[in-house]
Amino acid sequence: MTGKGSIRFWRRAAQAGSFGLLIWGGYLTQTRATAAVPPVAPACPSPGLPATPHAVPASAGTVAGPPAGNALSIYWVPKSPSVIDIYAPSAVCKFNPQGGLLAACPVYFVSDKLTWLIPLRYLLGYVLAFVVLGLLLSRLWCGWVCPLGAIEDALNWVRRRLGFRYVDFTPGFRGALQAGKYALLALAVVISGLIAIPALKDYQCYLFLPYCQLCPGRILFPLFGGSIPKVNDFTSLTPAVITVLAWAFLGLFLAGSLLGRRVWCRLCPIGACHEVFNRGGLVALRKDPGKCNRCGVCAYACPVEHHDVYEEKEMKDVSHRDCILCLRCVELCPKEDCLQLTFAGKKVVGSSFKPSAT
Amino acid sequence: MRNLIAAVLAAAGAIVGVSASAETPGTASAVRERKPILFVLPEGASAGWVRGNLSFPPSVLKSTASLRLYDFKAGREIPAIVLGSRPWFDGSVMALEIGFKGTKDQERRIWAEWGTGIRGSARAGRLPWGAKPVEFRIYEEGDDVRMQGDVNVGTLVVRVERHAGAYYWWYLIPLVAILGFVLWRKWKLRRA
Repeated sequence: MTGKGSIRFWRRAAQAGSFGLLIWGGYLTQTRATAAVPPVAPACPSPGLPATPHAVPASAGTVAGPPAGNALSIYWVPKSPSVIDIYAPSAVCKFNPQGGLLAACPVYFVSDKLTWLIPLRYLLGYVLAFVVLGLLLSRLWCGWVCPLGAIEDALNWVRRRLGFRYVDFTPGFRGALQAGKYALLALAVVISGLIAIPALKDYQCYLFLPYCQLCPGRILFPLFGGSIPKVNDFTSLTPAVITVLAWAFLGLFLAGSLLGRRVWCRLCPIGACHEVFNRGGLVALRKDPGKCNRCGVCAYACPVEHHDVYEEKEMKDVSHRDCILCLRCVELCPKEDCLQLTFAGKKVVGSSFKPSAT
Repeated sequence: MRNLIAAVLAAAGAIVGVSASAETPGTASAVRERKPILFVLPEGASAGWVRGNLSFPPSVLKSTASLRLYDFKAGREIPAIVLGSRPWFDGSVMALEIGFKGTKDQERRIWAEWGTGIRGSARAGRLPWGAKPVEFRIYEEGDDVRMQGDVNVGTLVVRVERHAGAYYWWYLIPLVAILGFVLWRKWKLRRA
């Protein structure tokens, strides 16, 4: 696999394939509920908790297995067993009615298990699966698999077709976005932990899965999955604030995708979860500074606008924690093997000079 | 060792749902409100104490007093001890740890029943001093798991053995190895 065309082709193919699998993969399992997403009645603070507890947990033999439902003022998909019970390091949304191949994303995993105070020993298997997947593919999950990333790329394609140039964000704004992902992750962890405290358990019905309630995937994935999500709970202050924030985040996602490039990826706490595997995992982006002619195309091409690849003059491994390994830089670099994607030190694909047919 | 061999049991559980078509013996209207879990303990099950955890959807099991383990073949309730429980936000039981006497009988079916009309004798307590219970835990889901109403229904293969809970900790070995490897590589790259 060499050349810019083939990288782009394979990335789009991988994105399309993963998008189909993650959004509609539930059809393969034949176990999904065929009905539209049922409403879970807002139950806070009344005692009439959900009329539709979505399942007796499959892990009924463990201490407090995955929760059987919630009283959220959001719409919930009745759980059906996933075929592969893995919380994949990419946006696998529990709110998608046609999902079902994988359990969910790591932020859902952390929030959910924290709130239900599930003992660590029962979670180690899931954590191991996530760590193995992270070790194997690092943030290739973001660049090549994540369905939210695929939507961003599609909107970016629309922008290009419309003839608009993307917006150059100021370093300050970029820094705020980068910090935002850690803030969102911390928010998810802290709130999920706090509402596990018995004294605060009344808030579980509003604040359960705090990040999920804001994530654009919660609205977009059900749409792609054939259901209309209802994010319009204004019955009291807390759900009203969450509703407004959810729409604001969706607006940010759509506007960011149309005006910029991979804006959401810089704010995504899911990416923050597995960026630890960049520079340390088996996948690495390597640069041969001796071959670099400082043309700057890598900095120009980078959708998350980090310039380490361009600026690096000595280090071979230029994987950065924010790099989503989309390989746009490798795709466009004109110098033969100046930039390479390696797996366990072996070259997988490298940049190559390929003159245009025109 | 004897326990280890004898205790690696395959039991099947069916979580039968809230719907009127619940596959429970009997047809009385009260049965509709029962939400049983079925355990099938095959030949070789230990006659000692068995301990494990069951979890429930919210609002389903209001109180542990509404739970009983029942042997339909023998026609009697199996004495059980509630070793601990954890509530949902509405006060209903989310998970509870129960202990009961195992059985040597072949294919003896034990039902965990709860719901309206059920009055069990299971009470909070501790296992007898010196009891060395074997644990049960979900081993895998059967192929017949399906949605029935709002509840998953199907077979659950469980293992009953003395150290069932300890197996989870084996995951720590590859976990620590991988994370150590990643950190070592990061450290090495930083030094390079």
